[in-house]
Amino acid sequence: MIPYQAAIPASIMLHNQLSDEQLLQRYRQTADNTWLGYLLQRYTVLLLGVAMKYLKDKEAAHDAVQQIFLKSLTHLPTGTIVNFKGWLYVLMRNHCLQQLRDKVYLAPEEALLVVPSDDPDIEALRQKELSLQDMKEAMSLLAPEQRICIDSFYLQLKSYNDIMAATGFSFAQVKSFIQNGKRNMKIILCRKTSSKSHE
Amino acid sequence: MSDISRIWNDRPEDGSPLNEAQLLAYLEGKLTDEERRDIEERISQESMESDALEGLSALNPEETEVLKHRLNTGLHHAIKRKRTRRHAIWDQRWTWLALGLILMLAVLAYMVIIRARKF
Repeated sequence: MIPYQAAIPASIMLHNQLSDEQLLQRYRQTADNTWLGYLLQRYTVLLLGVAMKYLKDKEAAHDAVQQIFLKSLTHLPTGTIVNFKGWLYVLMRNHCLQQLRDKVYLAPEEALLVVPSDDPDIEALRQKELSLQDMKEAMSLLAPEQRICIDSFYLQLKSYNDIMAATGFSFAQVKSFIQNGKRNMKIILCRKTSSKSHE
Repeated sequence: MSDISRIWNDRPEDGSPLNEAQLLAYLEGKLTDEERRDIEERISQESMESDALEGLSALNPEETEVLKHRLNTGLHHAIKRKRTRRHAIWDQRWTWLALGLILMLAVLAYMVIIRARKF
């Protein structure tokens, strides 16, 4: 008896070893949706997580991911997609935000406020050789919650669980305070370095 | 105490992205301290993984597995339906060709009859 896998073409069995770009290229070359399916399936859990973050409801998140899959299968841009994962992330996030704006779901207002924004260029900050003193000063200007989370995570090397236990913050709050704190620190340092260069 | 410059040492987004298994293992608490730290440093920058982990933390592992299975099955069916529709058109190509020929012959016969009547 022939094993089941022997009947599957070797090219298809290898899909796990192909990069996103290679799978996308094969899909474009063959117009076979199976390749796009392999690619989308890689991101099922990530997409579900992103949808859950914004919609806060598992059935709504499931439906949103399903719609993104269908949209990708029918409306994938014909032009080059340099970063498929990034493209899918933006598509998913915009879809969720659109649903929230349509007020179909009664999601908390803060869900709209936590959309990641462009960060100041960290490379530019690195090149300006910031002193530790500058960084400590910037940290001292942060909101207390952000300062506590950044200090615990980066300086005391505590885990998220430890910080949650010590502060009573939720997982999402700890993550958000760290992310926002880092962004604010970058903004403070950018302002500081630009004012120094003007002097 | 550690060096404050660690704040900028997060791994780049385009490094080696976190995969599904790593995220689920993190949520289920199955990682070593070092692996857990590695994931937490990555999610401390804004990224798809960071958003996903926050959303997934609201589900228990069984729910995540059930939803993932439903979504992947739905995706598989959607692809199969699209392929079946395309195959159906291709498989019936001879029927469509025969119909076209019959139609052309009918038009031709009609024109011949009309001309014959004129003469």
